[in-house]
This record gives sequence, structure tokens and C-alpha cells, in this order.
Amino acid sequence: MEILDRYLQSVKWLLPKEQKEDVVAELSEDFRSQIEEEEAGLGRKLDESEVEAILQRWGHPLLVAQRYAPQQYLIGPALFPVYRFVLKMVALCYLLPWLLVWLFYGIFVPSYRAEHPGLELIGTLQPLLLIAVFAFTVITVGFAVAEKSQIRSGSLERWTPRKVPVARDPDRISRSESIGDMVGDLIFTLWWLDVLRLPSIPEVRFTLTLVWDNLYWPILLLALASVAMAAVNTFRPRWTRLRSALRLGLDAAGLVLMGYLLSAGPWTEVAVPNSDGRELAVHELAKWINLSVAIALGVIGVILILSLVRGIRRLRRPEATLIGAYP
Amino acid sequence: MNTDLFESLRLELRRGSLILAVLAELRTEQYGYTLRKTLADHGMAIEEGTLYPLLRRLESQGLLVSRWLEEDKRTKRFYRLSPEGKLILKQLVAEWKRINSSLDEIL
Repeated sequence: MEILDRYLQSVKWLLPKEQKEDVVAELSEDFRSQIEEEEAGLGRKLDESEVEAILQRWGHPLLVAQRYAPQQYLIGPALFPVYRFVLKMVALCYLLPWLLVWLFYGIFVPSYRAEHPGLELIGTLQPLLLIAVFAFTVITVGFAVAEKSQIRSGSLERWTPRKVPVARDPDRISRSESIGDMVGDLIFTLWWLDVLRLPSIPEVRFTLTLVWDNLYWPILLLALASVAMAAVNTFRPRWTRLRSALRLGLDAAGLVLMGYLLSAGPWTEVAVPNSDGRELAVHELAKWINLSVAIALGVIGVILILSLVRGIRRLRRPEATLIGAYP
Repeated sequence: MNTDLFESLRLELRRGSLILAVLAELRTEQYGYTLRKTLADHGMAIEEGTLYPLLRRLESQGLLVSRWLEEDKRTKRFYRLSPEGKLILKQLVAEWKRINSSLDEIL
């Protein structure tokens, strides 16, 4: 019975080493008993298609063998949601802005396309792919190690209700976040007003291009409004309808500015007075600085989009949350 | 959709009772094929792919013992309850009766 032998051979190959002979002998015995019984009922030998039908019912060799293997997983059901969340965050906060900036360069910046003609443009995605593979590997290995150590240490079994995080009030604004926003926005505003000077390298002169001049007042107004909003939020840390709407307006204005800025690069010029013979290096430096600015603008854009989505949800939420209500 | 859901819930409901049925049937020694037929005759049909791995698991847990014997000029693997299996079966039967009577009251 060639087909049975082939089937059992396939199952055998997939079985755990120490069980191979034993399991195959037992399955073979059951199979022959089934055939004998069916042949006795029919009063004749089974033909090949009838034998095949029995094997079909048994299922794919992989499925048959898999039932003998112990249940194994790299990341278990307890850690998997956290693992998925971390991967999503990396994709959303790092890889997506990268991709958006790349798309923007490929579509709207002719000099970039000229520099990387044809398929070479796709080749510029290589660093992104390498980073994506590296991030995926590091996160997966990290979680696999955490899974193993958690099983060994039994940390989940030693759980107490006191370790449960405090319930988050969706209308409460984190004071530390507001203070952080206020300080950050204030430093930016002072720098924008030229009150605060950042440390510089005397040999290299960075200058902002004209695009920033055109947006001087809108950026200043937006920064001042953000400082004011963060100050109010620090002392009255609850979202009201009015403040939610104002935040939404500021985020929308910020997003429009980011869109305009992204479409108007390059954003900086680099000059090195005594750079005889090193023009190429200066050009490369300017290219990388502009690429960093583009990525930073892309990241800010994504953060603003996320903030807008949160703001819209906040405004659409009923005034008081009905806990335990049926949908 | 509802059929699929029912089928998945039915299988879940059956899973625990199958172990009880297998242990109970193996109070007398028998090999896989006859065990499967006996279970099917009692309305507890079980696929080969489910039964044999289950027998292995129960044996590795010390509830069954097995040996290869020759019958009708063919070697077959015979299973029966171990002393520990007998004890566990007794406890499981008591638990089954308790669950059954509770469910009877609830339903």
C-alpha cells in the first residue's frame, strides 16, 4: 500500500524524534484495522481512491504530527498584546514618519529624484528596511526572553491587586506633561524671538532658509498660544469642551504649518568659511541636516495627527462616562 | 456563523468529557482502534488524530500504562488504567456527578 507508506513517512518526518517509530506503528495499525473492517463490509478489496478517502479524513500529515508535539510559543498570550502594542508604536512613531518623508522626497523634490534616478530611488529605502528588520528582531527577541524569564520566575503568579495601575481619568490632563509642554514651548518661543541662542560651532554656519521667514508670525503665534494653553492646563488640569476645541484648533493649525514646511524644503543652509577642497563634505552635511529636519517635521506631523484624533474623540465623548452601561 | 460558533462551543464542552470517557473505557485493556469503536458506539465518536495524542498525554501523566501485544498476527498497542489513573478516575467521576447535578438545577 504505497500511498499509506508515503503518508506515514510524511507524518514520521514531522514527529518528535523519540516518538517517531512508536507513533507510526500505532497509526499504521489503526489504519490497517479500518481498511480490514471496510473491506469486510464491502466484501472486496478497497481501491486506491477509497484508501485515499480514509487518509483525507485523517488530515494533512502536518496536522496529524502537530497534535503529538508539546504546545510551544515564543511569546505567550499574556505578553502578546504588549508585544503587538510596542511593534505598533515603533511602526507608527518611527517607521511611518520615515516612510512619509521618503515619499515626500520622492514625489515633491525633483533634485532628490535626479540624485537617485530610476530604481536607485527604491534603493534609498534600504536603511528603513534594515531598521525595520532590526527593530522587529530586537523587540521579538526581547519579548521572547521576557516570556522565558516570566515563566521561570513565576512573576505573574506572585501578583497582588495592589500592583494594578491606577485607573486613568480620560478628562484629567497630566500636570507633568503640561509643565513639560510649557517649558519646551517657552524655550522654542524664546529661541524663535532670538532671545535665546543655542550653542554653535564657530567653524560651521547654519542659517535657516527663507521659508521660515515667511512663517515667522504664524509660528510665533502658534508657539505663544501653546505656551498659554500649557500654562492653563498646568493649573486647571481637566479638559473642558472649550479647551478641547482650542487644542484641536491649535493642532490643526500646527498640521497645516507642518504640511507647508514639508513642501517647502530645504530648510537650512550650511556654510563652512574655510572649507577649501571639502565642498563635497559640506554638501553632504547640509543634505543630512535637511533630512533630519524633514524626519523631525514628519514626526511632529504624526504626533499632531494623533493629537487631533484624540481631540476629536474627546469632543465626541458624552459629558459623563456611563460605567457599566449596556451598549 | 452561528453554526461555527455552536460547533466550537460544542467541541469545548465535549473536550473534558472525552477524557473521562477514555479513562472509564480503559478500565479494561484495549487498543486504540477498538477503543475508538467502543466510544463511537456509545455516542462519543473521536477522531484518530485526537485519540492517539490524548492517549500519549494521559500515559505521560501516569494515568495509563501501555504495552505492545500480538493479536491476530499483528502487534497492537494496548492501553489500560494505571493504579493512579483508577484513583483519578474515581475523583473525576465524583466531580462529574456533582457538576451534573448542579447543572441540572441551573438548567
